[in-house]
Amino acid sequence: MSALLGRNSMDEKKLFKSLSDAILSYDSAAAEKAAKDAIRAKVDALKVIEKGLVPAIGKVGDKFEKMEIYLPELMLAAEAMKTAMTLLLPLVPKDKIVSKATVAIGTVQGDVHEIGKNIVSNMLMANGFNVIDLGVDVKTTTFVEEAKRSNAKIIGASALMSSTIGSQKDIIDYLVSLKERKKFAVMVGGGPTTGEWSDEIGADGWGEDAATTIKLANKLAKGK
Amino acid sequence: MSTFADRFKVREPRSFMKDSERKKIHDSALDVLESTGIRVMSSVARDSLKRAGAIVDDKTNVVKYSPDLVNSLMSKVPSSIVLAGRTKDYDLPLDRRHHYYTTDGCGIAVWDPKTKSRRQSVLEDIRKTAVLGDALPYLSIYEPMVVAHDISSKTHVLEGLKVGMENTTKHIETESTTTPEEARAQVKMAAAVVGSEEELRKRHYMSAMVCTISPLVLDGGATDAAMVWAENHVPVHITGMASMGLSGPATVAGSLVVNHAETLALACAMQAHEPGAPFLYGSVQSSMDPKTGAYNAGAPETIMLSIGNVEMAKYLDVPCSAGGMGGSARTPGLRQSIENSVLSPPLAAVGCEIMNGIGLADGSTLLSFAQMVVDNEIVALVLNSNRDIEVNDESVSLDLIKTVGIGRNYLSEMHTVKHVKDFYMSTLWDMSTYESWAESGKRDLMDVAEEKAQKMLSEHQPEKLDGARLSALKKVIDEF
Repeated sequence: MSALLGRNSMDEKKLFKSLSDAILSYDSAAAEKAAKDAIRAKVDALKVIEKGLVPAIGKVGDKFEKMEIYLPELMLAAEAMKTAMTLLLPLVPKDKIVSKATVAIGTVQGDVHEIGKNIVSNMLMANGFNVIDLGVDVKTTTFVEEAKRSNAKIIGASALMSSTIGSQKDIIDYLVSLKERKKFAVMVGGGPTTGEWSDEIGADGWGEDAATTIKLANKLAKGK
Repeated sequence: MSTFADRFKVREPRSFMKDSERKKIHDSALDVLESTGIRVMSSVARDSLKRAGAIVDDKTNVVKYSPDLVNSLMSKVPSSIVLAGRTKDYDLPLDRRHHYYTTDGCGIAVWDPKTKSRRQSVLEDIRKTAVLGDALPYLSIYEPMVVAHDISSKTHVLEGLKVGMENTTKHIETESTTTPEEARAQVKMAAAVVGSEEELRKRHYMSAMVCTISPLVLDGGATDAAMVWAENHVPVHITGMASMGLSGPATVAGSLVVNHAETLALACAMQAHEPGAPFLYGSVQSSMDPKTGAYNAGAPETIMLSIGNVEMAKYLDVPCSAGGMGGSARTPGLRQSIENSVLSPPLAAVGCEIMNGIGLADGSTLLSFAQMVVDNEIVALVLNSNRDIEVNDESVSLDLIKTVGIGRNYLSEMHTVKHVKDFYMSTLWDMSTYESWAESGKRDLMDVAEEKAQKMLSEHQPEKLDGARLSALKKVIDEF
């Protein structure tokens, strides 16, 4: 540790590598340890994120795209990333925190399926979004109120039942009735949803699966 | 005289798992229910379970069941029931010797073969599927197949049920019920068709699918509805959907345990609430797509899971509607038909009593009329290859073999004239030549099936409900 405290560039590189290795080996405990080492060594937290974590999660994404790894590895990498970020983010000055956008996400009213929503939520977080996870069985009004409160740019509504997808439309209709439709991009997803459904209800995009939802969120973060 | 149900008779089921293996799954599920418990979001179900002796945590809504409690409650379940048609001709005994098929539900889109694209489903699609389902000879049970997007969400389930009841005399299965009020209204509708609520308790004209939420959650509204079904002895297909690797362990046995625990949990809640209420072991498990986590209905693991579900239903000695066709092809056609053809035969052999799934592609979301016709043909092939092999003097025909002797043929024998009538003849394709196929337009099988579907839709006249009963159905919906 004394060597780490010396903070020369070689030591920093070792720290970045240990964080990167933790993400690439899907190891939350190792990510936590590496993040704590970096904090003790007083390395700039933003630099740690940018040099250690972000390239690693990018590599994980590339592996997933090439089908070298599957969804479970992707989830574990996102969790390891989240563990390290939870420790490092509070140390980054607020004016330097650059999230792509805030996303208010939840499973719609009447529906308590949460696995798919949680996958997307974790992956959004790992990909640089500020995520407000509203949980399951979320009322239409709550989606909108929480999105406003958190200054979210994107609302993400998940529905897993053909009997509950109508609540996705309710969110959009409610925004229209408030004359606030343009303030938020609304993306929808879940088993029974389709691209046509998304078009039909006037959503801004449909997330077919977690990976495409991240791409969609990246696009929506830049503007509808 | 043979009955409609006779069409679905199959040979005695085989065992695909050892008793010791089934016991291990069952005991493991009992362990889960006793130590971990299950979250029950319905206060009605929790109260009934608490009265029966379950341990209920009022803060977390987690209910724990002792093995003795499970065994005691499960002993009240009827082991054999008859699913009734609107007329007795269509009654379906669940006696472990039949292999029935339902339409699939509940899709959200309809395939247009001309434009090769999807459109949103509407109430008229439900009417058409009910008429076609009534006409298809190998469809046993009708379930409203799609969501009526042109009807308000408040009444779309009821309107779909009414159209189904109106246009087919076959047994009706309802799905997508999310509130107890919706269940009560449907009970009134089914009672109006059979004569009274008292009669409905005896004649199970309607059954209801209720899904658990894996892992180990019983939803609030759907479970409240299940209690209403139980009160009225509407048989409930308890449909666990634990997905290997996602909402269940990534092994067949592990996912069977999760599903079995959920099934026992809801079945026991029903028995605690209404002793003797009928239920069916009705799982539709699958593996997840490793890349996306999506439901992968056509996977080989789905067959393994379904076989396991049927084995666990047999272990409990309860009626079984586990598994089904209804693959994951994104569009109707070859892949969907391959998956459906592979999914069905092992389940006919193991003893699945009701198979879900005729007519929808893309993980039960996309309706195709042509696929309904193709699936009907697949069912015909499965059933007709799973009959008992009759071995008696007439079938062995020893005298005839001696009489015909060496080098002659059996063509002009009366024995042949009599039995050739039993040969299965496809209703979808014929055995004509390449030339004949080329001359008739070189049509793809799906084109032939679509044409056949449209012809049946234009020609088939289902036995309609009389005006009084129809008015009663309408009244229930108007008052809802």
